[in-house]
Amino acid sequence: MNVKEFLKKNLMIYFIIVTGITAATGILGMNIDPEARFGYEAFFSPLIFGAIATIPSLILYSKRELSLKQMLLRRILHFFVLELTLIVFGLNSGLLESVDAAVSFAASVFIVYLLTNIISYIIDSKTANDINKGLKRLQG
Amino acid sequence: MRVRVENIKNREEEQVLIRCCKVNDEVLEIVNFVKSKNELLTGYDNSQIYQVSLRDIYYFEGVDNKVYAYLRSNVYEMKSKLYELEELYQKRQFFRCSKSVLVNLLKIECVKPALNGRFTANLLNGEQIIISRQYVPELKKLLQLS
Repeated sequence: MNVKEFLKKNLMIYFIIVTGITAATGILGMNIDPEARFGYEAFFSPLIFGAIATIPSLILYSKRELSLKQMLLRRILHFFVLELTLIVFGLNSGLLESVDAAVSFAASVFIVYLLTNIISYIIDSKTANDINKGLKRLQG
Repeated sequence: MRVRVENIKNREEEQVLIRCCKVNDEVLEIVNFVKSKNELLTGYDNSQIYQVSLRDIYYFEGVDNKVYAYLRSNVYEMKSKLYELEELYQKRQFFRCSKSVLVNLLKIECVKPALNGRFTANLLNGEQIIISRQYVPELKKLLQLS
């Protein structure tokens, strides 16, 4: 994958993450602290976290084709680096004020990560299905 | 398009005749397919030379400046470059699915999603090869899916 393709793909991932963070914040907030009120600056939070969350994707970049095992290892490494980056950023920026907040935040990140991968898998499954139909047609 | 198969006597030459109003892409595709049925390539294995039928090749792979043709269970070294084979056979169901592999679309059993937006192609001989994300749009175009 060249750099342009990689950036294009990560831009798409960025928007999926932003949507995921917004949804996860809404769902968790309604259950944990339904009375909380925020100012307009709260709208920037998913955008900033989305950008921070996209940076560790550099781990997944490779000029040559990686095997499934190599890619799986990089994915696992990516997840832990992502969690660490976001928690460190959250604690330093003052968005996370306690261990409890950091733990529930880490859980949210896991849910978003899982959802992002599930959505990507569903999209890819549909593409694979279309390709298989096309191949069957070609093969007669 | 109506398809008609005619039995002939043993001494007559077998032939495929296409009767059409215009030679379009579909007709050319059929012509290329029929031609590929008889195409023979030269493969090398331990200084022995073999004639390899194009239709028996599952995929070509470039490894360390060498190109290999993978058949059901045999592998032969080719003396051509991968891009030369691509130019020659891209109209004959051979598709560049990654930087180093040219796969015969007629030998793919099914395609499945892999990690990171890539796909794996399960071949009829049980082997699996990677289809890079960057080649997927081209494949969809080739299969007239987009």
